[in-house]
Amino acid sequence: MTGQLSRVETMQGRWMAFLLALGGLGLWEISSRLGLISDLFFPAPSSIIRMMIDLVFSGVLLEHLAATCGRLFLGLIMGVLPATVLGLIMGWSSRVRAALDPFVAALHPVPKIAILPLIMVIFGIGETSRLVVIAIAGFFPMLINTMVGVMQISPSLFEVAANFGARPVQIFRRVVIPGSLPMGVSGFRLAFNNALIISVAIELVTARRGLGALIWLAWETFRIEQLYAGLVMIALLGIGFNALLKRLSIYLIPWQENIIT
Amino acid sequence: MKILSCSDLTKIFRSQQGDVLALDGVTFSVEDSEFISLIGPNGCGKTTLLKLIAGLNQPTSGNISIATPEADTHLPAVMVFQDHGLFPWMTVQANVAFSLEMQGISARQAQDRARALVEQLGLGEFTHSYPHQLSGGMCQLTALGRAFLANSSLLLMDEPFRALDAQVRYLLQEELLRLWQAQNKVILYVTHDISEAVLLSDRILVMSGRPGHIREQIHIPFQRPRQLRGRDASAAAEIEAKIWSIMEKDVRLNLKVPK
Repeated sequence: MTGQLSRVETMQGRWMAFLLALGGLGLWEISSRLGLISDLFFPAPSSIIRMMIDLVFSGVLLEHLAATCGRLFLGLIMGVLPATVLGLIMGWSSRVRAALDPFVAALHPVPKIAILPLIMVIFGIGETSRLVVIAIAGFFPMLINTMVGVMQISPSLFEVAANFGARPVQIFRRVVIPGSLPMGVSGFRLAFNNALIISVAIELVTARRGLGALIWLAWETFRIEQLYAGLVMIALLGIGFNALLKRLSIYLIPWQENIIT
Repeated sequence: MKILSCSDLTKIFRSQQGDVLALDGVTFSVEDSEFISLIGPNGCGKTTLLKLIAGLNQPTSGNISIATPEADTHLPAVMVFQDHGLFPWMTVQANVAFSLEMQGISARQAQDRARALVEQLGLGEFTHSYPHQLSGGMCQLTALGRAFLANSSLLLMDEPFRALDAQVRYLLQEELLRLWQAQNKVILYVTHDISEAVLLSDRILVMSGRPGHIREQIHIPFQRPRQLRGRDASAAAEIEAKIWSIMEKDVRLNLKVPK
């Protein structure tokens, strides 16, 4: 296939990327130490790492990480579960799809952080409002991907199932759900990434605990190393979970020829 | 016993460009355990006829009756599609077992019987492979196995081997006849290929160009198992020539019809 890298090429690419990153960090470290760039804005990587270690051992970082993860995953589940059910139904039934599509099209593009004030008016200032907004952020990508996942199942497979005497419940279980799973899994990744962005944004604005709050506090008190440490932690959270999902999808979808990532 | 009888079937497709008469007065009937081929020029309505019999579409007028035994899980007809129609998310064994599970057979029993059939088809080492890991021939063989396990005495096949190369097709034709001879099923087999029709069938229904109707029915006198590459070859050539003479005018006419 064109565009597909061989194993050796992939390995070479990885090494190149690793060396580039190492080189970049080295350059940063040296420039910062020599005073070529202001270590007020760009503290040396070594001092950021030291700060991270301090934060880990004092328990501060873990406390904030736990707060972010807690609301992120709870909100994500609150959004993704109804989205999956609704997405399967909308994908399967063109009538339901026709009725609900306009609402999805209208609500989906609204930046979810913008509805936080409204949600706080409704649910009050507290954890509930945060969870609701995170849930909404995860809801739409999961809904749309699941729906499209069902729609792209070859119509002939529905014919085959019906031809062998499958009843609607069986078609749902044996055709609709597995057929939409590949798109569903990638929808879950999109939902996670969206929910992570919104979680951090909410924490910047309203929360006292969480990685977003940590960054905001660092900014207010001008602790730049701590600010970087928070950012690195958020990046690691995103990277880690995406890698985990990629691994998981190989087990969930063994019939995929090549997992799209 | 008559398994299938169609009388005076007509199908009109209505569209904004005007109505198209696809089938016009198709009448024939099929006896128990017969292998019937439907042959005719492109666009003569062979697939339309098959879909009517499968119940995937309704005739505009006329009558289809299919004899169904008492069992309530019995299906009137099962189709084998040109693109094999295997579920990509099921292994070879699971695809075959699907047919049994839809009859209400317990999952474990279905899996056991499916595994036995998969081995019998010579696909033992691919039992747990997914369709995308198989060749087109193996996929179609799996689809045949799945159809033969269905609880139906009528199998409808819409050019199942069309996409395969000639040698693989030859192997699958033999496998199909083996499966058919082991069971009491009627096969209604749509094809473009005259010699394939002669090789496989007890009876060939030659269709006209659009609107399709049955021009002629030809009985194939050869004994089973068939030896068309040996004993019966010259007689087969004769029949093929006869079928061609029936079809030729329709095919020539078809050539001039713009797309």
